[in-house]
Amino acid sequence: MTRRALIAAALALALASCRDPGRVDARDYDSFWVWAGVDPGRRAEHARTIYLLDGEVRAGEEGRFVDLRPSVPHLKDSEVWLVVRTDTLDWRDGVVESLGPRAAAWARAGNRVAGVQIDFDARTRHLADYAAFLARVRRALPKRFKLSITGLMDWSANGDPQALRKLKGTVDEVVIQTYQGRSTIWGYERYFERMRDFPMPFKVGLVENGRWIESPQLRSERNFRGYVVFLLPERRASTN
Amino acid sequence: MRTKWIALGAVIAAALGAIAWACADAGEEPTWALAKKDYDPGGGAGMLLPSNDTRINMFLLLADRRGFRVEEPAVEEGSPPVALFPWMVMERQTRGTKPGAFEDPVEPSRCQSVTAGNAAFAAALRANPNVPDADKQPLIAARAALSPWVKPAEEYMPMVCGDAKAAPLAPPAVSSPAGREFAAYLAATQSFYGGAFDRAADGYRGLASASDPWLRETALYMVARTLLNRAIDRSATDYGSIAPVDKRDAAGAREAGHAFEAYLQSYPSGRYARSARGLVRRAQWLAGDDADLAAEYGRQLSATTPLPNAAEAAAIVDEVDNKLGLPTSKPEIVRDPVLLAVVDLHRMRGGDAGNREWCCGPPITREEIERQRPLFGRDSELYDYVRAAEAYFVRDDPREVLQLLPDAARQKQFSYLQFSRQMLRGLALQQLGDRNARGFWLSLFPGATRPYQWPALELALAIQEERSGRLDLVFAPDSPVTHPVMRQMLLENVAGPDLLRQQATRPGAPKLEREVALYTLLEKELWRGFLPQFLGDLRLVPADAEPNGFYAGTTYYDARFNSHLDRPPLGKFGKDARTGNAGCPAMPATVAQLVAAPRAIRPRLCMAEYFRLNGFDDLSYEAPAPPVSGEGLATSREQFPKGRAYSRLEEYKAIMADPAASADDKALALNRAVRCYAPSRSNSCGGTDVALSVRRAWFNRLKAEYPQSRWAKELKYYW
Repeated sequence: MTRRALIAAALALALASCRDPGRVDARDYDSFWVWAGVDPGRRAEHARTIYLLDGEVRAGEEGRFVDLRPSVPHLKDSEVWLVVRTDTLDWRDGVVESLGPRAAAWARAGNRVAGVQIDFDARTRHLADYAAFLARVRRALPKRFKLSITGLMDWSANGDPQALRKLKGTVDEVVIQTYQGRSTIWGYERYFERMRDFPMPFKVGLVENGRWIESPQLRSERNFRGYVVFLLPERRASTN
Repeated sequence: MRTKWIALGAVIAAALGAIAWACADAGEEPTWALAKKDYDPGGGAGMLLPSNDTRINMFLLLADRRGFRVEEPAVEEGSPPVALFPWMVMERQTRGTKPGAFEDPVEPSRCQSVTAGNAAFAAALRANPNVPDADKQPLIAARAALSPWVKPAEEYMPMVCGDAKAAPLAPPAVSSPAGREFAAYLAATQSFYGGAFDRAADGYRGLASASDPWLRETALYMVARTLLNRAIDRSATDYGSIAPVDKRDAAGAREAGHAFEAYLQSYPSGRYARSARGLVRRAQWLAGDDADLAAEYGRQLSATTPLPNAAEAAAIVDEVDNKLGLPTSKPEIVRDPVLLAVVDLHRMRGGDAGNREWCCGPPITREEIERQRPLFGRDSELYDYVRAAEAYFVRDDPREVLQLLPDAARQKQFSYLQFSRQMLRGLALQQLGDRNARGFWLSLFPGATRPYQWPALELALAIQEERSGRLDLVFAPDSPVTHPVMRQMLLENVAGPDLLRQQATRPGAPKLEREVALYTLLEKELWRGFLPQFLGDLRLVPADAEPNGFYAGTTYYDARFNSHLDRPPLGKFGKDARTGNAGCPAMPATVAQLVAAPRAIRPRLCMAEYFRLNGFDDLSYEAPAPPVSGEGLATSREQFPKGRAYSRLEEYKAIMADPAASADDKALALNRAVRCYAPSRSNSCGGTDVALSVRRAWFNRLKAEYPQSRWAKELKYYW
């Protein structure tokens, strides 16, 4: 065996020995976020859906699109979402309009592109502005692409699932993130209680190795569409 | 109350402990100490330590050598300076970005140059007197059409900044020989952005002896970039990322590297020299040529020319970390003193054989460090620190530290290395129980002028005082330990009632600290059954104190996400606290009744209502894992008496079985006891859990025995 294979085998063993029902193990899920610099390797072998970070739009870069993927993907076995992370709604002219062509370029390369996901990563968000922004994105995006957003589960009024309900009709799905950094945010049960009868499809985003115990109520929600697991970079997980 | 959740958190932590450890990286809460054998991702400090993120160590050493200004460690306006922190925070400070901004390395695509390239092309063309104006116009238009910013959207389609399958560009109608060279450049550039790299390389090579100097230089540089992009393309995974090293086009990458070197040979200070130097490293990285890369990084880290700012230093540190992959499993490739020190410290971490491959590489030995002496050369200050660190962290030999690192405590200022040397000496004195340890720490303060040094020193001294049972010295008026988080941790977790009362009323203490001390005092008195004292201390609560709000003290402090300390809602301990709909008086009155008659039933129910309504339930699961782990600051024996832990559930059980209780009392107790399990079927009221069958029996009894009671009518389910 090569050194790498040995490492992989040892890692698999270590993971197997620490399997824990309260921890998120990628093997138990079939949808993943794949961020820049993350090699999903065998963890995503069985993936049905990949949320693949394409680039980001940052306030610090004056709202330009910063490309984070050195090459066009070629994913044959799974559906893919083109994810754009942003910390600002103040995008430069043309960036919103470029999302459709970007997704189309991926589709031309043979990928099954489900749509575009906006991962708005700001600490404070004014929902009215955000709704207007998303309406713009929706208008600019060809009909064949769906629009997904992430929602950070936090305790501020803007993280309130009630507020997210208002985006029905603009976005096709919401993925609620239950973690910050590498850790699950405590108190998620209470948050999901407030998500009863959520009016549009939603998924729940988990962080790999984070804590997660599913509440029975979530499973019974009509619009609950399962989980998306944020894959961590393997080396980063322990070496710095 | 908080002690309760900390205790609970500790139980969970203990239960998950072995697992979490084996799975690596359970959380980011730091251990509040400096002497740590293991990697502490969230607990880096302003001195060179094995437990630091390697990037922090590299950055500190770089700061010493390359003379940039390190930013102050106050993360947000008005927040205390961070004492322990992950690299992300330190790096974020250098960029002046706000918390929550992105922190991942960026891997830009080739298309990043498409805008600048357009402008440079036009400028070069305009500057060339041999191209007639009639030719310039169509050439400029063709370049603009090639990466057309006519429609703004297209600027942001880097992956679509060209199309490999597109037909070669129809040459613009250009007649002059010089103009035709520009046209040839244009065709090659279309191929480059489109991803037709072979065609692009041929086109650029054809311009090696072009008459225009800009074209000649640019084409030579572009040959190399084309080769590199071809190698990247051939090394991509299905995800469009770079494949593991054994699946990359290493030969292609080396060819590109040589091409960049050829460019640099011809144009050592050319217009693309800086970019080319960076891309040489990128080619080395892509090819997996770690030794070459390590040598190149070593030159950068040990250079003595000043860096313009901390952001530049952080960029170097990040690049080294990303691309060299510390801990290298090949320590022998490291030859430079700075990099060597970083890798050696890294290898001093604990971690058993199975884990080392990821955590810290092969263990380091004293003999190996001895053999490194020539590599450190004249850098004996650094070399001796590495030796002393090995003695301290690997061999537990603090005496040797004292021999290797002589006392040089009293300084006007310390470099980070000098500071680290004296701090390690201090840790050794502390471990030896030297009676001068405290005085030694105190003598370091005047020199701890660089950012991150003072808080590290405060932490060392606070631990010293705590371990010698002298919390009073931390809180003495002239104490150098002013860090609000450290002081608050000690108040919350260790301080006894006298110290809390003293700080709650001390005129010179900061307002927040007075409030925290009072809140902690009242909370513990209440939760542990010291009601007469509680009643006495209530008078310290200001009349207008805020009665609402979730509060978790320092357990919510986080250098990365939440570096402000919250004010405690002291009004929860006052007349405005919620009392509910069971006809209870204001809380102080209830407490007064209980002080007079501790077994009185109605006041006990009212007390339970008070607990229920003021957010004292549920905290066990709302609270994150406490930042205080088994070692470090604020983990010594608590000086506050344990008393008797309060539990609503136990009160209800007792009252429902008490012959002296009225029908309404019992109905209320039954109702609330059932509700302890709503809605998640887990008990939020403390005490001893009961089975579902017991809850059902309580529910049925409430409905059968007190059918007319509002408490029976109001309850529709059990859980």
